[in-house]
Amino acid sequence: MTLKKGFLALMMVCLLPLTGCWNYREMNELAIAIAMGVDKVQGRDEYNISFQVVNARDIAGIKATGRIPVNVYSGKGKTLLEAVRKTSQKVPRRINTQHMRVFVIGEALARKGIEEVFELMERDPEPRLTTRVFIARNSDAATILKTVTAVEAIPANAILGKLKITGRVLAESYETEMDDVIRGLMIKGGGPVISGIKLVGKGEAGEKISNVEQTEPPTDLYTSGMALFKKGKLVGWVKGDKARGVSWINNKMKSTIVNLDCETKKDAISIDIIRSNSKIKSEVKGEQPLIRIHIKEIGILGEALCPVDVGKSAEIRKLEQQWNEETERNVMAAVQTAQKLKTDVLGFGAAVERANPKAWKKMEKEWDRIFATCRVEVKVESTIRRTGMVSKPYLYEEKK
Amino acid sequence: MEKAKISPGQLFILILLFDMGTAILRVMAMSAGKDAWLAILLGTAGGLAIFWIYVSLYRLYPELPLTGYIRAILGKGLGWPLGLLYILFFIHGGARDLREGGDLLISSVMEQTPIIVVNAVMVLSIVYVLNKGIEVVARTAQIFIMTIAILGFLSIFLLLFAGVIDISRLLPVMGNGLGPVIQTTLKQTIEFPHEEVICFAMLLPYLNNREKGIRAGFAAVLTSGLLLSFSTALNIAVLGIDIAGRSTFPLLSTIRLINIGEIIQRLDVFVVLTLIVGDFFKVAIFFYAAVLAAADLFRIKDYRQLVLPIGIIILFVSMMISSSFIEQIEEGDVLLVTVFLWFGVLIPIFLLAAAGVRKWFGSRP
Repeated sequence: MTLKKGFLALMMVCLLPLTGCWNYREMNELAIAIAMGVDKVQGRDEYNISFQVVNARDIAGIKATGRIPVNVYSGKGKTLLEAVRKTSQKVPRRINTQHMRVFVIGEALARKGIEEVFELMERDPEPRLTTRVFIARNSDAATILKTVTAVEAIPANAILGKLKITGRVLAESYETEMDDVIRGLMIKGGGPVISGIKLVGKGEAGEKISNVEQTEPPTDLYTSGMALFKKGKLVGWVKGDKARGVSWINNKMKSTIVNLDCETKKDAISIDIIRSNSKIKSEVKGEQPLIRIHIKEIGILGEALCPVDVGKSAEIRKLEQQWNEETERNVMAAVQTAQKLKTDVLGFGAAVERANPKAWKKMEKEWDRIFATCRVEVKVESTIRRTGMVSKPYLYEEKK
Repeated sequence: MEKAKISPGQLFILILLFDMGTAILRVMAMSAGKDAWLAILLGTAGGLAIFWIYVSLYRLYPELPLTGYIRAILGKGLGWPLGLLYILFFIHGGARDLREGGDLLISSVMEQTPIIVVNAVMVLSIVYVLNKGIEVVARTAQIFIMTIAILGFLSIFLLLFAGVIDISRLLPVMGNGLGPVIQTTLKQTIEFPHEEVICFAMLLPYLNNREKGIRAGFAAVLTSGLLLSFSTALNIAVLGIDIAGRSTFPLLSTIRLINIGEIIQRLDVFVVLTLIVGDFFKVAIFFYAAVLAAADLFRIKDYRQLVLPIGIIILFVSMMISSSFIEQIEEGDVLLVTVFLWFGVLIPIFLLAAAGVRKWFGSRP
């Protein structure tokens, strides 16, 4: 009985201190950092961290004040955590990175090496590994974060939206999450692939709200190509066909437009890819591995600017054949670029390891050298399924 | 001993929750690299063998708990001190798991809460449920297994739809040959978590249906082995061996990668719930085994008198056991092949042998 009474008393006492969380942080005490940028401080071995902090009141529907939706705060430090804490001198609230969606790395830092940057992101429980990573092309990360954007009030959402849509319809860049980057950094003789974001126009003008008071903002942010890394260092950029090739090989191809020639005109027929799937296999014979890339893709005829009778399946066969060649050309362009840079960003090493773990053990150490000279075979199977709302283009009737 | 009965189904659930309790959260068998799941699978075979030892002893002495038949086999002079050591073993085991659960909870979600607060809340709730008796523990387990099962299925489903599972990260299977797998199996996965099932040697006399209960026990050990293997494979397939191997809490890192259309995300609570429920039952079973052993050795009629004192001892031992989480993990690896191996496997084998010899001589005219 006494135990029961004692228990009851204990529970009552517990009610007093246990009414809330131990280290609770109310919403109105937080500064939500939606994006974060890292740069190298010039001439010193320090990091400069920038946070894009959302002004919740200024984006809140009807009550929106029309003032600037975000502010950017920076801090410097030898380690990232020190730099983060140094920003507290400037920010009136506690910075919270749980909702961070975008992580930008300045190109100067990327060329020096990004290995150190992700250690904090993996260790700290606040940031998430699903945060998308960008490289600020030709500029520093802070400038990117400071630019005000149109349509999406919060610049981080604007950048992310552009990347997502580009990845889905053009495939010249694709989303890379922090965990992808970390895995990329661990690749032997290779590195991660990270999409670029480019500042267009004059940097300083973009920091004011007046930037978006025009139909065409004088300063804007565009997605631009992809950065190829070797270990942690940026060694080169790819864009256009080569970037598409990288997407194809890494199985990130969702959709893009492939232009094919017709008899009378170059690049006159557009194929719209709907689905694509690629597999990388490897065979090891002696010292040299052979890499086989197998791509299966399905598409529709998107546009035909010359008199071609696509109502005939024989014509479609011809187009498919052309499309195979075009895909192969893109893929080989990407392979050659990576081989020239001697960095395995295409997952060939993993394919060799899967095929022959014993041979891989021997090659592992000098994989970047072997990778640069290994033979690659591409096999493409493409199918044009439909021709849209019409069969023959009206240009075909005109020409008759 | 209290006058209670548990059904085979309840035993199954208790062993399942006990086995997976802390094991599903932590990195297991990482020395086998990508083949960790294979090592766990092989370890399960060892786990079944270990459980067979406990079952054989139980068949010989179906009415007695572990501490009871130790005295019956070795005699009072040797059996009583050994029983005393088992009390310490159970308290220590409970304290280790309590500490581990608390540390994981703090390092992942409750950064600034002192560990004694987290552990005290856990111990108090276990003290409460143990006061109600083993039947209540078993029924609580029946309720919580449903929660865990739903969360588990939902997580797998969402991971699939989030498209983060990449089976090629598990390939090649046995890239380094069978050597590391066997080594890890012998050093780690046979022992953990299977040798801790010795706690159930204290609980088996409560079974209301002996043969079905034994079968349920084997099934539980097998199921938990399969689930552990599966979850480890899943962690590696989602995170890759490097991130999974470094992570203190890989299951949480895995679940955090779920992001479906920027809407279904931040499902950390799934894992935190699993952690709390699993840890609760793991500590509760160790705790209960310690209480029963003490009541048996010191001839205390109502075991309830011992619950709060032993709870407080477990709480303080959990605080003193190591100065940091790193030390806790380091010690754990050593203890696994020393203390836990002795108490969980070697002593029971010796007991079984001694009981066999006794019976052989006894049956002779």
